[in-house]
Amino acid sequence: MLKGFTVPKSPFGQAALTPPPPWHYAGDVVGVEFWTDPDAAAATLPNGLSPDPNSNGHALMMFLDLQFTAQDDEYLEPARYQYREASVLLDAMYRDVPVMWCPYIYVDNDAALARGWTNGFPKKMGSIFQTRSFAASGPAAAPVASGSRFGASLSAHGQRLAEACVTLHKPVENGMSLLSRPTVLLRYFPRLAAGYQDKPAVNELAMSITDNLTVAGAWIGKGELNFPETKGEELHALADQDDLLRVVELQPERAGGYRGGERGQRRTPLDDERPKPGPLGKVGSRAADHAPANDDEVGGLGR
Amino acid sequence: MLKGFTAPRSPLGAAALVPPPPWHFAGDVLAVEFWNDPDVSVHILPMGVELDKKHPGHSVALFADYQFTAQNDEYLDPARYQCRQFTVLLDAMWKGARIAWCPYCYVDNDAALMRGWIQGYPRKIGAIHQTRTFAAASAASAPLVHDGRFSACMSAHGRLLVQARVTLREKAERVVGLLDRQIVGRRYFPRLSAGMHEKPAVDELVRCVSDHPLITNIWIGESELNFPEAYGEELEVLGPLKVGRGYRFSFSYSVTDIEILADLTTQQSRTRSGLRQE
Repeated sequence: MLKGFTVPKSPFGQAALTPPPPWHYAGDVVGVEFWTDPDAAAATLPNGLSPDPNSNGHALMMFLDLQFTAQDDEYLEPARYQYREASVLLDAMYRDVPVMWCPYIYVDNDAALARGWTNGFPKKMGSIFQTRSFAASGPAAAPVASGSRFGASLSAHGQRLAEACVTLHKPVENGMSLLSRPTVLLRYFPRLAAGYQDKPAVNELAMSITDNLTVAGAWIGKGELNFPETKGEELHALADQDDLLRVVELQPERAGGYRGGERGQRRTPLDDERPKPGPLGKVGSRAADHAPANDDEVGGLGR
Repeated sequence: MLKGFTAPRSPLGAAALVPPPPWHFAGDVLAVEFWNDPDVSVHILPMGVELDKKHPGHSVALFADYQFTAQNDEYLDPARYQCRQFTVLLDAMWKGARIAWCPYCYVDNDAALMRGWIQGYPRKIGAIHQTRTFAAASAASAPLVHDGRFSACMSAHGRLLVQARVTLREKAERVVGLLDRQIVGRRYFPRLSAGMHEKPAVDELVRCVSDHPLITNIWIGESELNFPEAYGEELEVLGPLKVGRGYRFSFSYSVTDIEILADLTTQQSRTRSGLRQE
């Protein structure tokens, strides 16, 4: 009997791209809030999501520097289980629930790619960097302090896709307020059999369920963000419309933010800040909805 | 309406990892025939696939350096659509037909990774290299001649997984005993919902359908092959007890279809297939 949560399935289950859940993450974030053309934002939404009338075009560009572990001390294998990630999150509505939709996301590691596809994150490979902060002071240490600047970039296949710079202003009292919506994703896996290539085997709207989300050391300040035009990508269609942007700089106090309890308190991100979880909360860890096999069956976005 | 054959689906369909078929491939291959321990390699086979008792443990380690195109001159975007690959193929049988089972496959490109999952190749990312041949004569040009030497290696996450060496001996018209079986893979896509982790959304045995396969500039020679042990991999248990011929050739083929042999989520297999029976 072959074992493994993903391919490659193998006799001992050691070769699979990623071990089975529970999955635990800790990392640093440089983020920039921005506003894009509402029509461009709406055009990325799958069936089942609609623009948020109160904040259509409001978006977050996140650069993450992450460490992963499952049940087997994976964090002691940094070559395989550290990774960097860059993602766009757009405000949207699932029924009457404000959510974030992830149209594009890039990572630099195959295990993260496989976990992403399983989750519904449409991950591609990229080269992602962010300025790091070190404890020993000096011109290269980039302390988390007022006036400090942090750069970040994303490139793929020889093209620069995104670059950002944030200048820290002040700490944020409640860092969780920066990530106040659950993320909705599209799990998508096509068929290759002739005649079925536009009838995917998996086409599900799903909500990413995050347990024990901890935000520590969050700072806010001024942001700059640029999406250069590139071939084979559509990220630049979401380019920001304002020069001056708000910035989110998050840092965890320590990886221990995820200690224990991974089975204990399943909850949507920050549902303590949302008095009513709404329909998504009831769906729990199951797919939020079954999207139709073909997006145009119910008329797309009505645009 | 979002477009794209794969994720990410986008307004114009230009962001998808892979354009829709037909897919076309052309490249160079360095391959080594070998035999592993059939008592061990039998455990890499999925349900319904058996070892080939006439060729127990017979396998191929295959390094490919190739170029891809679909319908939009993708081959003119080399950064995105050139790829290097390492594949293991193990002789096996499915319902009386001789097949090659693909237990492990590594590529260095995300588009190739996605194509692999769709085709049933269990691809991961690796760093793969092989000696190339150039027209301008030099000590570095590695010509295709008698005693010409070619090496290849594959590593992932900082660990060496495979090393190979082929010394060319003679030009050949055909690759006898290599790639003469239909390749069978497993399309597998898990569920993440709690309680469903062992009930995949997609679990199919598939036959990879290749159109217009062409193999040329074939050289056969002697070979060396080694699978060092590495954390997070099980390649080394399929390592060679004995090494056979080495091959170096160029290839091309196209993909427009796949045949589903069995749906392992329901244990149902098709009664008819395009596989040649013994």
